[in-house]
Amino acid sequence: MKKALLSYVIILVGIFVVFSLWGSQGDYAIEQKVWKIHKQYFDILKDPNVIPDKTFDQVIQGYKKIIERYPHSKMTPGLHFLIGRVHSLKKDYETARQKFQEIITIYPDKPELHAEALAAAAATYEAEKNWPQAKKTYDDILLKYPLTRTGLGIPIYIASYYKNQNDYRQTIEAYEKAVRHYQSAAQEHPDSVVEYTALRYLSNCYLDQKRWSEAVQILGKILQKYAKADYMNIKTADTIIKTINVVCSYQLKDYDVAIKIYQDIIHGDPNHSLNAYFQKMIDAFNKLKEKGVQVSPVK
Amino acid sequence: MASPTPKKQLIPLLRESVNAYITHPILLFPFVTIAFVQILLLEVLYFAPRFPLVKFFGPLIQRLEGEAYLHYPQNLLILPKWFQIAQYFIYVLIGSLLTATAIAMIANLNNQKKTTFGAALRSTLPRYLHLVIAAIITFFVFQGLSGVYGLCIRRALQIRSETGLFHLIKAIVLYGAPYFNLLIGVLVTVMFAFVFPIIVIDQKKVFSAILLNFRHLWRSFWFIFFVILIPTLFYVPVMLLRDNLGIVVNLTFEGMRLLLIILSIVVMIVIDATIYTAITTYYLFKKEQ
Repeated sequence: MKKALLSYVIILVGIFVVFSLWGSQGDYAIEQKVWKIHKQYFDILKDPNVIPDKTFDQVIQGYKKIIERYPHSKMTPGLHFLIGRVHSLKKDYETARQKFQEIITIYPDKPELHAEALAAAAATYEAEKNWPQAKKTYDDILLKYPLTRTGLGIPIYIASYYKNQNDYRQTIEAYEKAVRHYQSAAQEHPDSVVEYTALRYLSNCYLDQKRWSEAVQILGKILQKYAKADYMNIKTADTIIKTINVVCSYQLKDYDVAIKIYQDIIHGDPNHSLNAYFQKMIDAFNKLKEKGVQVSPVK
Repeated sequence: MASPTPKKQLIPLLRESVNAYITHPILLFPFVTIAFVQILLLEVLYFAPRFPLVKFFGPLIQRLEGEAYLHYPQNLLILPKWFQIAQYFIYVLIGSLLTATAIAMIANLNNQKKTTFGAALRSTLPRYLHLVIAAIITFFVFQGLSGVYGLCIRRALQIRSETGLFHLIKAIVLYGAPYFNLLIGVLVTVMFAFVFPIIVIDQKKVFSAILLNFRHLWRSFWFIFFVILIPTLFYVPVMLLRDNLGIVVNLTFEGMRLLLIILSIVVMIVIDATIYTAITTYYLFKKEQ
């Protein structure tokens, strides 16, 4: 029995050691190291104002060490970002911008990363209440990386910035500009992730502008073309359907608009994966119509 | 082991059982082997998100739990759940056979026969199918009762009172869930307590073993209930530790989840060994009578 017990222990310890060593250079091992520093980073995020400078430096040094040890890991770009963000939280905006700029130099062929780095730099200008410089940086992203995920989000971000500032005139202008931008992006890149993203932002612009009818038409188009696993999960599809239903019921007060959107999708693509769900919606709206139920807007 | 007669006295029977495997550590070997298989599987699940196991487990975890659970430390959150599922299979396919082997060894010792793990395993192997079916039935009864408790939880969640009796009921049902599940486990073990000994010792088929089991249980239900409950109570500290894991983890490190599972496996070895030694000894005593 002693021999057998010893072999059990040897097997278990052996497997543990072999697998630990085997994956010691992998991403998981890096994740473990990063997590230890992340915990300090999360503490900083809670209230950067009460954190001593020493902690900021410890976190930055921690991230730097991992970058030096694993320069080619897929986590490394994210760590460069975090270094910039920690500087930004320390209110050392100039260094933060330098770090974000470095990302562009280190990864010259990654446009998405460049756009993100520039957006992070723009955010530091915003934190300094230097909107003109932030706007200039955002415009720069739009010019250089218009089709990246970050780039596509810029026009509506600018509009919502003006909205938050209660700048009525600039808000209207920015939304108009955003709508034109998304319309042309969608038109120029049909059947692609660019069109999908542009249409999502376009519908958001319409919703923000209370252009309900146009918003639901775009949402219908998104459902028709992009309700596939490659683009959206069932939760996103459900959110879009709920938005259509709510807008048609409460804002447009016209169930027929929703019914027509769903009918068009079913007729346009009899094999659409969500047709059964759309039919349920149509039936539900028809019932509401039969009963003459009218809903009031939520106050 | 068989010298002092284990009459229908709770504490002497349990004491005798503990003494049995202290005097004859070989009795622990089948349970240690179950623990070995469990820890081996735990290791596999622990290393599942890392190279090279990620090649196989990666798509599976991604599909069933989501991308986030392939990464540290979120993977540790699903580890207990996955291990729990793996344990069901271990219990049915391996645990049943090895527990039966332990029962055969205890029976041999009681009959003053020489016993070895290999010989006991060989003698129980022909009963494997019956043991597996018995384990599956036990498992489904446990799942059924847990399901009923799940309904109680759902009902309790609908209680809106923030004070008074109903609030107390809600709190007991919700916070007591792990302990009620443990109690359900005890009840199910009691319900089928003699099935394995009957299959192994009396060489009965599974369904006649279940019938005979109920006949044996008829007059000794509460006795067997306490025989199983008392050792099981030693698992409560592990559960308390698990419930307060949040605090413990913050104070120590994330690998604590892994260590806690290993601790629970070790504690379960001792509990199972005590329970099955006691039940088998009592069953043999009843047969002699």
